[in-house]
Amino acid sequence: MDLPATEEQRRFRLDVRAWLTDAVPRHLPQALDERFQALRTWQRTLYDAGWIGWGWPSEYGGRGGSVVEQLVVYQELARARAPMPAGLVALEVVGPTIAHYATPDQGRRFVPPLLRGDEIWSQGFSEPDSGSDLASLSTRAVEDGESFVITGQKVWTSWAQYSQWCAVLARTDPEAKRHDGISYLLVDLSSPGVEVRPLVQLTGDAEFSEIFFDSVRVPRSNLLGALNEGWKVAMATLSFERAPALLRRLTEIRVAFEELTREMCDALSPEDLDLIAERVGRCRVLIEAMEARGYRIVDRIRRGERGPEDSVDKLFLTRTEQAVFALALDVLPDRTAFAPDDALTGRRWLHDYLFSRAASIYGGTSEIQRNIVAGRLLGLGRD
Amino acid sequence: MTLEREGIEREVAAAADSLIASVWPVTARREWLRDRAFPVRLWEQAADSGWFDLLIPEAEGGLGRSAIEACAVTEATGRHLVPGPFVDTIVLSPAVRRLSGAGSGPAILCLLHAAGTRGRAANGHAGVRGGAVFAQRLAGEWAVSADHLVVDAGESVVVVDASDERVHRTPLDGRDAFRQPCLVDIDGAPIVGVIADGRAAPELRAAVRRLALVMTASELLGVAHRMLEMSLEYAMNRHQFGRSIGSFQAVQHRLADMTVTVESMRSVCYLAQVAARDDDAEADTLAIVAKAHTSAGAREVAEAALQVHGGIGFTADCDLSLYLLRALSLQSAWGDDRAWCRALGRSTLATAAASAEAGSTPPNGERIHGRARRPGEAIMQLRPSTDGAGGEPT
Repeated sequence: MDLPATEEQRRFRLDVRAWLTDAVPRHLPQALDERFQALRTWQRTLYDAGWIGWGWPSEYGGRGGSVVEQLVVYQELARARAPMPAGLVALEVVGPTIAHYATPDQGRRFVPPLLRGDEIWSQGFSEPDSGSDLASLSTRAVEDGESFVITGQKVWTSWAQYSQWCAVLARTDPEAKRHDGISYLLVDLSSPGVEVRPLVQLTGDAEFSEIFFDSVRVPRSNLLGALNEGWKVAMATLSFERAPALLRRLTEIRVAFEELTREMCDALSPEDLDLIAERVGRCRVLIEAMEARGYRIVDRIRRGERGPEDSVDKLFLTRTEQAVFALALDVLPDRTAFAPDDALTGRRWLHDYLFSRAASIYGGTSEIQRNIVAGRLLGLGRD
Repeated sequence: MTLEREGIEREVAAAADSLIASVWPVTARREWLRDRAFPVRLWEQAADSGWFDLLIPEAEGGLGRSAIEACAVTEATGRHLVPGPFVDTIVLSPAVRRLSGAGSGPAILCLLHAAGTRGRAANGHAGVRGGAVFAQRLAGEWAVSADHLVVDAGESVVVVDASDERVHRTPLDGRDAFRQPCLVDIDGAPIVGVIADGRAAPELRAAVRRLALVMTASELLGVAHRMLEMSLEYAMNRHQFGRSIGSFQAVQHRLADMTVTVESMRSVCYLAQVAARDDDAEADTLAIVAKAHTSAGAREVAEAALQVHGGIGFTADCDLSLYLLRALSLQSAWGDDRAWCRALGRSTLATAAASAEAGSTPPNGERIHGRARRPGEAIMQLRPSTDGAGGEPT
C-alpha cells in the first residue's frame, strides 16, 4: 500500500508536534467575541510559525508543498487539543476556491490576508427557501456599470458576524436555466446595505447568522470565475471542502473518543464499564474503519480526484460521529444537568452530542449524499 | 458501478475471480446443490492454481505470497459461494506440508476447535497422552471431507489422519448449504506430526487466528458485495407503478446505505490485509476490527438486500437466500461481531484506564500518516467470550 506519508512529512509532523508543546494557548476566553479574537491571534501565530499555507501557491503568500502537510498540521492541532484557527472557513472552503479561480490580481489581493487571519471569510450559499435545493436560490445581483447590486437573504452563514468578506452565490441571469444564471461574488460585509443577524443554535453557540443584502454594491472586479458560471465554482468549493474537512473531523472524533473512554473509566464502576464494553468496541470499530477510508481519501486528494466517493465518506463519518457521541450522552448520569464535580464533563459531551446531530444536516444532508451515491455511483435515475 | 480494487490487489483478485467464474459457474453451483458432495474437481483445480501454496515460502516450493493474495482468494470464494475449507487449508498448509508424514501434495485440512457451549453441555477439549490424541466435542468445517485434522491440544498443535478409525466424525445439519459443520471425537488416534509445541504453540495460534480473521472478513466482503450487486440489478429490472423500483428514492437510499457499508468493509479489509502482510504492530487489532466490522456489515447488507428483493428474495429459488445464510454463518465463524466488539471495548477501556492513571498520555491522533506502534494493547490475550457459537480454536 502506498502509505500517504513521505519521510519528510513524518519529520514535518514531529516538528509541528514539538512546536505545539509550548505554543498551545491554554486559556481561551469563554465569551464568543473575545474567543474569536483570540483565535484570530492564534491563526496569525500559526501562520508566522510556518504551519499555515501548505498546498497554497507561493505567489499568494502560501508555502507550496501539498495539502497533506496542511492536514498533518490540523491533525496535530487536534492531537494537542489545540484550537483550530479562526479562519477555518476560509482555509478549508472559500480560500481553495478563490486560489483556484482567481485572476492574478484577485489572488494577490485576497489570499494573503485570508491565510494570515487578517481577513475572516464566510460563505453565503443557502437561503431560507434554498437549502438542499441550492440552485433555486433567489438572491439577485444586477449589473450596473462597473458594479453588481445585490439584493436578497442568506442563512446558516458560519461566523458571518466576525467576517470581513462573504462569498455569495447570486442570480445574475434570471432568464437562464436555473444552474446557468448564477455568479460567485466576493462581497465586503462592511458595505452599505449589509445586515448580519447571528442565530443562536441548539448547542447554545451563535456560530451562524442570517445576512440581509439591500442593494449592496459590489465592484465587478470581485466576480470570481466567469459571469453566470458561479454554479461550477460553487460545486468545486463543495468538493474542495469535503475531503480535507473529513480527515480533520475524523482526527477530532478519535481524540474525543479517547478522552471519553478515559473519563468513563473515572466515572463508572467496573461492572458498569463492562456492561457498556461492547458498545465501546463498536465505536472503536467504526473509528478504525473510518480511518481505513482515510487512507483512500488522502490518495484521492493527492490525485486531485473529487466525486461521489466523498459522499460515501461523509455518510460513513456521520455514522461514526453520531455513534460515538450518542455513547457519550448515554453514559452521563443526567443528560441535560451537570454536577460541577462530575467525573464526566457532561456539558462538553452534551454539546458534542448535539453538534454530532448536525453532521447529517450540514455540508449537504445525508439524504442529499444518498441521492449523490445512488445517482452518480450506482447509476440509479428517476426513470 | 465502480467498487474496484487498485494495483496488484486488483490483478490478484481478478485472477481468483476469473478462475472461479470458469470452474464454478452458477450452473455448476446449482448442480452441486442437489447432493452437496465435497466438490473434488473444484478443489483439484484450486490446488493446481496454487491457492494452497500461496503462503508457503518459495524456498519450500510454494508461491511465497502474503495475506493480500490469500484474502483475494477468499473474497472471491465469498463472492461466488465456493464450498470447502479454504481458509483452514490455505492458512495451515505451510505448517502441515513441512511434516514428513503428511504427504507432499496438497491435502484438505481442517482446524478443529472446541464446540461452543450449549446449555450445560461441557466445552470441547483435546489433549495428548503417550503420543496419541484424545479429544471430545471438537468441531470443524468440512472435517468429514478432510484428509488431515489439525488439533490444538494446548501444549502442542498436532495433526491426525482424518480417516483413522479412532477419529469419530458426526456431520451436523445446517441451513447454510456451503458449509459442512461436523462434530469430532478422537479416541487415541496417533499423531501424524507436531506443528508447534512449547513456545511456538501460542505463536502459531496467534498467527493462524490473525490470518483466519482477515481471510474470513474478506470472504464476508465478497458475500456482501455480491448481495449489493444483486440488489442493484434487481432494483433496475423490477418494475412497479410503471417504473423500475430503483427509481424510487426510498429504494435508492437503502442501496446507497448498503454501498457505504460495503465500501467501509472493503477499506477495513484492505488495511487489515496490508497490516498482516507487513506484520504491523497493529495487525492483530486490525484483524479483529475487520472481522467485527464485516460480520455486522454483511448482516446489515443481507437484511437490506432481502428488503430490496421483496418476496422473491425470501424464496429458495432466489440466490439471495444462499448469500444471506452464508453471511449469517460467516458472522459466527472465528468469533462474531458481538464477541469481538466486547473484547475490543474491554481492551480500549483498559488502555484508557491505564493512561488515565499514568497522567495525560497524548491521544493518538496521528494515524493517517504513519501508523503509530502502540505498545501495551494486549488484544491477543483477550478472547471473544464463548457464550456464542463463535468458532474459536481451543
